[in-house]
Amino acid sequence: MKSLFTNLFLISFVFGVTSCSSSPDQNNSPETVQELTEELVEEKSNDNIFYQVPTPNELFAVLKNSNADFNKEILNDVSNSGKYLTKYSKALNFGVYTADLAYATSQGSFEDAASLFDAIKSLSKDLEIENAIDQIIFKRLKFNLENANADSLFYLSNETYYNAFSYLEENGRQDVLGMIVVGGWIEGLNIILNLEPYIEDSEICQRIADQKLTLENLLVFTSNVQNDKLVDLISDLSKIEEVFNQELENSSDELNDAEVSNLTNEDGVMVFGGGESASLSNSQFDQLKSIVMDLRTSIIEGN
Amino acid sequence: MVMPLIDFAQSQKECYNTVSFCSTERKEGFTKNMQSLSGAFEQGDTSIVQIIVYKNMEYRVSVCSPSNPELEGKFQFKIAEDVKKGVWEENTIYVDSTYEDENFDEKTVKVPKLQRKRVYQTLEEIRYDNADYEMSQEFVFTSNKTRKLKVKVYVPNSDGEEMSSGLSGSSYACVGLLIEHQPGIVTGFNR
Repeated sequence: MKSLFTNLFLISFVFGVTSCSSSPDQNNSPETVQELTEELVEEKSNDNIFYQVPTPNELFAVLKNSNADFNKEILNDVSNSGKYLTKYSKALNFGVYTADLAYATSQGSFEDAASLFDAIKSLSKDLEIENAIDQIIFKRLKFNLENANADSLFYLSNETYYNAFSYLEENGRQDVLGMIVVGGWIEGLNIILNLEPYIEDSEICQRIADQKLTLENLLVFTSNVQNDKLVDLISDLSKIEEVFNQELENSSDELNDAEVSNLTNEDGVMVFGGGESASLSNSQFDQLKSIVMDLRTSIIEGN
Repeated sequence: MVMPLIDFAQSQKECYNTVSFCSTERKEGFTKNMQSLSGAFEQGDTSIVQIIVYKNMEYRVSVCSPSNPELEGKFQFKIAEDVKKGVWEENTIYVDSTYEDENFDEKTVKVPKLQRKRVYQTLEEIRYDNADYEMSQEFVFTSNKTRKLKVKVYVPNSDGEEMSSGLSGSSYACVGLLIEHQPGIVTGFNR
């Protein structure tokens, strides 16, 4: 069961006050004097809510369509994998490498994929989750690497993450699970922040802005983890949340009505439409890049 | 809701990875999504799984309970989204108004004024309800933007019958909410 929320936020903005008066007998009918805008957000408590976090694979699957070049330089060097000594740094960097693997396989970089698989295999042994990533997966990985099958590799990188996740969940190892998910999320965000310079409303910038939603779920997902170092790291994520929330403070669009509609596309698939897409300012982009880089550096250095 | 926690914890463990036993019609390209959920669900209860769906990605949602075949085909699930909507609220307030009477004396009286207040509330919008589609146990959709959605799964009572198998606590059923994804058709990056 995930934690409960009961919050009531009230934000009021006085938009304008107009007042005019003459004699009282001209005031028989009421007239508009004031327009206020008020936002009420209520999150109801419910015991049975589960907050889920998408994998880096899902993020990079979407980005396959953006034309950003593969940037090998932003991957965590696989030679670092031997220097992680604690469960905390091993698990975080397991997450980092799985995000790197998702990125490399999404871009068809076989050479990097091979070495990343080795790093993940090595860390999985140290974390005692190698049973989750069975020999069959590694054989299939090897086969697809040799045959340069990018789509299958990308699929298998997802399987690797999924199996590790399920195994940890089954064995009640929520702390390691939380570390892997946080490490993977930070690495995924760091990669997309370094794919291209800021371009307003670009596909990449939209995906970065979308991470605000993912972060909200991630914070709840990890809220019950009992590990002091991870709790510290998660509290550092609040800096990222603050940057994402600047959008709310600066944008009047946020209070626009969000009309929703469902359509059906040519394949007969329902399309959920309506609402405003998330956006990101140049300043937010720069701030995020700096904060995420610092967090990520601390993780890959094994601090 | 008060639950016997030990019983629940045991049941959760027994229900590990139920989704991997969900038989879905193989459709080329779909990949298991980590936002899937397996667990012990109390009969008659509703569970909510909050997920993130990306723009330009196609999702397939299905529900199954291999350990309780009598429940198959009976799960109701809805996909909902919290949407911010604005409504105008009107109130009459009384304010001071000053005027000069026939003797040019200044007078102040209370006059009614209409105050219009735009109130934004977060309301739940049901985007899909399988009850409207003959209780279909599978749904494929995509989205024009990245969204946070709630999948609400209602686990039906099995008409007072004893649960057929599986759990140590007989009021629970192992249920899998399987979510899968595949890249959707890209129609441009228009916002």
